[in-house]
Amino acid sequence: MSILSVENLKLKIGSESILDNISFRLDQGRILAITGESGSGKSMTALSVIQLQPKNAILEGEIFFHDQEITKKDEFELCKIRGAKIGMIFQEPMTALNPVKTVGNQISETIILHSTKNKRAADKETLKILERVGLSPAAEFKKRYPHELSGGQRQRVVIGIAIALKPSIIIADEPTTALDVTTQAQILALLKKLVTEDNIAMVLITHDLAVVADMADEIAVMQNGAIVEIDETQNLFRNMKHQYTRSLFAASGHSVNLPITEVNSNPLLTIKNVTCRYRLARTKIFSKSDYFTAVSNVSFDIKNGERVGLVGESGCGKSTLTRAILGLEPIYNGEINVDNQNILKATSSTRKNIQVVFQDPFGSFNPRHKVSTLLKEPFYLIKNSPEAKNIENKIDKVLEDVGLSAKDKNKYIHEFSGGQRQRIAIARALIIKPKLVIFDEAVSALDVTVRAQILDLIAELASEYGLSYLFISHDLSVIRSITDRCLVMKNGKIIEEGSTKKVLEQPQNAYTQILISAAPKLPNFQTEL
Amino acid sequence: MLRYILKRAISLIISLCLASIIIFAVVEIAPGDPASFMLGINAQEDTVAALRAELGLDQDKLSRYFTWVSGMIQGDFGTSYTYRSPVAEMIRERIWVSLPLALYALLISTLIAFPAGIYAATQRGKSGDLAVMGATQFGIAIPNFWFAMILVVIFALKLRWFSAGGFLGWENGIFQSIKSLTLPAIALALPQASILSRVMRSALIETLSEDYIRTARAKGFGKRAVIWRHALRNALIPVLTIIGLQFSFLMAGAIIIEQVFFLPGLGRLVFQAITQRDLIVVESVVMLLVFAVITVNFIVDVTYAITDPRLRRRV
Repeated sequence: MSILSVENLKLKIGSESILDNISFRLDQGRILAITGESGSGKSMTALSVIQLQPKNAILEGEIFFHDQEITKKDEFELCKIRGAKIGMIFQEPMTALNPVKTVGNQISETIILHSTKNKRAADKETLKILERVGLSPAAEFKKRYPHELSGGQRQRVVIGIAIALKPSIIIADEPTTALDVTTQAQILALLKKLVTEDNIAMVLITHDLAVVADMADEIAVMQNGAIVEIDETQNLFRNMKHQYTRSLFAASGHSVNLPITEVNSNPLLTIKNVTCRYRLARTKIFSKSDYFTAVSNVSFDIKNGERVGLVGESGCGKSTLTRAILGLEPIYNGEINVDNQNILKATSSTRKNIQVVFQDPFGSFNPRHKVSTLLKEPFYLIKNSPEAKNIENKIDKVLEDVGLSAKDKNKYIHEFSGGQRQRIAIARALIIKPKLVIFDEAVSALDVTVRAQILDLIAELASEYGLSYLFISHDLSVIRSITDRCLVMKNGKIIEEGSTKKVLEQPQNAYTQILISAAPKLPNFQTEL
Repeated sequence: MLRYILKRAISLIISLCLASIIIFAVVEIAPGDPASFMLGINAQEDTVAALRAELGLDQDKLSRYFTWVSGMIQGDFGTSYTYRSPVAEMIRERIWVSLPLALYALLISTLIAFPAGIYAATQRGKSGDLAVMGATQFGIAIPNFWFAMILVVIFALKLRWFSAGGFLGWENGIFQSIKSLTLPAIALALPQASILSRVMRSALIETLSEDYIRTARAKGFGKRAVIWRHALRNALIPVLTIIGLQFSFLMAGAIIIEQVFFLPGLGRLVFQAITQRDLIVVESVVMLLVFAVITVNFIVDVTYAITDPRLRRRV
């Protein structure tokens, strides 16, 4: 008897079918990965298993936990199963914990809820759990609030809550997606260890095929609410029976065909000994202010035609540096020049040469403007901006260049998908023909297949428009595929620099080596055969 | 935490200093002589001069300001020109009506708003929610003096449970006093409760969509337990803000209700002082109200920090 078996699960919201005939089984001690792109129904499957699907959803089919039919249970019985028998881990450790309660409290309340233990016994147990998930000294961590922990530490707390009562199943919904690669590696290792030690079955939901390959015994690939392929990990990667699995795999390991460009020796962007720092809150009312140095003595330049990558984990100073380059951040020391003009004093005609594409395709547009208005905006930077008719033509052209159609200019931004929005963001950056574009994690929020398309588009447009770019990313595979030269940043400093190939294949710095080894890799079962 | 309170306290003192300067400037330095203003246009010149001397207007402005402020700190608010009695005493009498009335109204408002708001949030979109929201719409729309009159007609004239107005003073029995403040407090509380329950509802609805609520549900807490254990405290910040604002309003804004129920409160005192051009009383009462508002804001700030640990470290 499987611990969990889902049979012909269907879920509808209104007339829209979200899940279609989902069936799978999970045995003790095994890890089943559910993978697929956003909107494929992975998370909804997970929520259905613990019966926390949206209120207005209509569910059909059967879910057996041991021999108990979960969909037939009432709320009271379900509350006894949730948290005690089935533990959940969610994606966003930043928001998954209650900000006004200490982490110790949040773990111990689960124990008190499901067992006969009193407060003191639960506290004792909490300490053990904190140690187990690697938060030591536990007594110290127990008293902290979530905002006092890092993302990885918070995820450890969430894992602690999930394993607190030794459940027979853990459902982990994108547990490492919001984390840095090195943290991701630690959290995955921790999960694997706990699952093995306690002989727990786990459903691991992730969009990342590389993570799946490392962790799972069995993989289910989902598309549009249905499982298109389900098999043992090795078999699945070896055979890839379904077309969608193949395309997903191809997109994950997508390598961009980077056109060869001529690199001009003229530096387009020069960054000389730049330091940026923030004032920290004072520890005592009349003490001297302390500073946090986010970017420390950074120097590099980008020549005309160069495609440069900047890699680093969160908090390394990438974002501060990006803002400094855009002239949005006060520079404490040093100088940033664009086209031989200091960016902080640059006129709008110089500033027009540098444009940016941000990470979040949903938040970076004014929702009340039409696409044409959004695309028109950069023209305000140009002194003699072209006539209205001419601008319209340019809008049509740039929309077609990024793979949309001229008709799209009359739509509003909410009418587009994430990938299309990112195309519009690129169109907005390109419309006034800048020399340098900064891509700040520009593909991180996108699904793999969309990501592959956008990367191709960037490479193609860069050569068409004669662009240089600085591509900032935490994702080594992206940097590998789209840049010629790359910089590795840590604690505000550039610690390694060189051609992308060399840095990624023969890293000199110890940190770069850790970064590369921590990144999950796609398996290569086919060549093994 | 202590540092946070200390900082808030410093900003409290600074606000009070600024407020006192502004009030002083408006009343004393604004064009026109306070003495001749208070006496009206037909006043004799020697009467004006006598009043000027009595008010100390012949001294320079700076020393007058400091005399005023130091007097207030010691509880001396000057002497009312029209009543010929110490302002401090007049205020003391009134504040024993206004402050309990405000607190009473606030208590009623909170006692109605919390359950109503929480209930509406949990019933979101269902008939219970619609009923509560409809009722609050009604509560906001009804002018409170009219509601006060209806209360008088029903509970005082018809049922004779309460008196129609007046306040005999606390020395004549606490129960009696509370009883005579009940109808006015209900009249004051109705619109406040309506607003507050709407705020409570929307804050709670927003909180209930947070990720940590889903986490709590996944831990095995039922819907109710999640509200009590996880959602309520997080939803409290906007509610506290509104409670603070409402208290300030209730202290000073009860003029009409005080008129309807014939209560000797601060609102009526200010109203009378303005019509009688008694600037000394106006100035003192305004300063007192400012003090109350700023102090309440200080208390609200401290409760923020108690509620939300993330605010404790903020500068």
